[in-house]
Amino acid sequence: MIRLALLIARKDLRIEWRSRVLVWQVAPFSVMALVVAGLAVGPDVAMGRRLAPGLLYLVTTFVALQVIARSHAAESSAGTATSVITLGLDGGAVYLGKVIALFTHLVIVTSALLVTGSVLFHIHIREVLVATPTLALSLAAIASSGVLYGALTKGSGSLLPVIALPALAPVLIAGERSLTAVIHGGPMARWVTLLGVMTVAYGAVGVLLYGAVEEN
Amino acid sequence: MPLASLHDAVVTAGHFPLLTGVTATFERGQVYVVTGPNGAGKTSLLRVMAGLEPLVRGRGQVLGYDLTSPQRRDVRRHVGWLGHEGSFYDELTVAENLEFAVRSTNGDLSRVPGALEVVGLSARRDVRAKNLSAGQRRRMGLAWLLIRRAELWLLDEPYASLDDDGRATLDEVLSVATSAGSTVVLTSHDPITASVPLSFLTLRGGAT
Repeated sequence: MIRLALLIARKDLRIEWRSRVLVWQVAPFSVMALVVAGLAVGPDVAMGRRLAPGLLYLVTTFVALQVIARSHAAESSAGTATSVITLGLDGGAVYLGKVIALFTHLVIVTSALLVTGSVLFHIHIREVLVATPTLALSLAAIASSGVLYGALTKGSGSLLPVIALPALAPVLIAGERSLTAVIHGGPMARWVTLLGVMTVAYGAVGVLLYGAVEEN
Repeated sequence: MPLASLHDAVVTAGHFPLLTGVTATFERGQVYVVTGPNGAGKTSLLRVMAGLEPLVRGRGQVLGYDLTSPQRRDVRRHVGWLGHEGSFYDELTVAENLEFAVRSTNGDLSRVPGALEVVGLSARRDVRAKNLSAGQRRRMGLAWLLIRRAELWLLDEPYASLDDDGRATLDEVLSVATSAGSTVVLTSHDPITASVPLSFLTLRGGAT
């Protein structure tokens, strides 16, 4: 299963790298969205630091929807979908592979967002480094749920947000609270636990059901 | 026992009937040509035989797998599929597409160069699929079938988009397949030029 998952992940990463859409379209869009948010907040440093976690996670979530839709689009042309199905691949392995690839895509985009956010909202590099494990866990939760919702909605650009946003809301809240805790202090353990539980739960459901979801 | 058989097979998409009663038998090592007007159910018949669509009524089996049960999905591992839509990842090269398919099915990578040679794509192995013509994409699909060596080949309009040279290649590939004992079921609106013996099955309104 791991071997096939890595094969799928490598294939997805290679496709994304060749198309350059993530680097030249999605990442710039995410940075611009954060810059616009920064302009809306204004020059108040304290206000910017207070709103930064929420804005970062909000933009990350919207960008994640784009990346999820793209991840599914590579498989969804009628011919490709049929051909892949007739390979008889294990659905759980395909799911894991796509989660690994989506997670990697999100790490790349979020890195650009963090650099932009640290400049715009005066977040110190030390705070970013401390928040990195929690951010990675948040992205893992988004990836593990996103691949499943991408399959459920067939990557539909209009249906995916309607279905996925409510499901991603707990990740958004837990991620924002944990980043706020890093920047401003406060309890973090419960939010990290929630992110971990969501990642594992969605991962387990995905491994078990992804094949059936894709089938139907 | 025949390689595949259908008896009064009915398939629907929602409430829309795709097949309304197909009865047919497919023997090993034969080439079957499914003909009929547009919308007659030719592609649907191939999809049923590939385990992609369930029978809602009637009986059917392919390689011993019951098409009325979830077991039908297991037949996919034994089927070579060539659709008319194009079947590959556009951003991957010819070789990368084939190697992905081979690796994901634990196949033999050493078959890739030979298959590309047979279909005349050796010189284009490093070209991305999106830069291939429709005929070249079809040849890439044929290369995959040669590599996979499936027991049952299901080809949807395989002659479409092929030039004379491509048609000759397809004819040669069909000969290789049947001489290796594979069964080929193909749909076509074009005259078949292959030198192998052909059996014809005509569909009208989703039925034989």
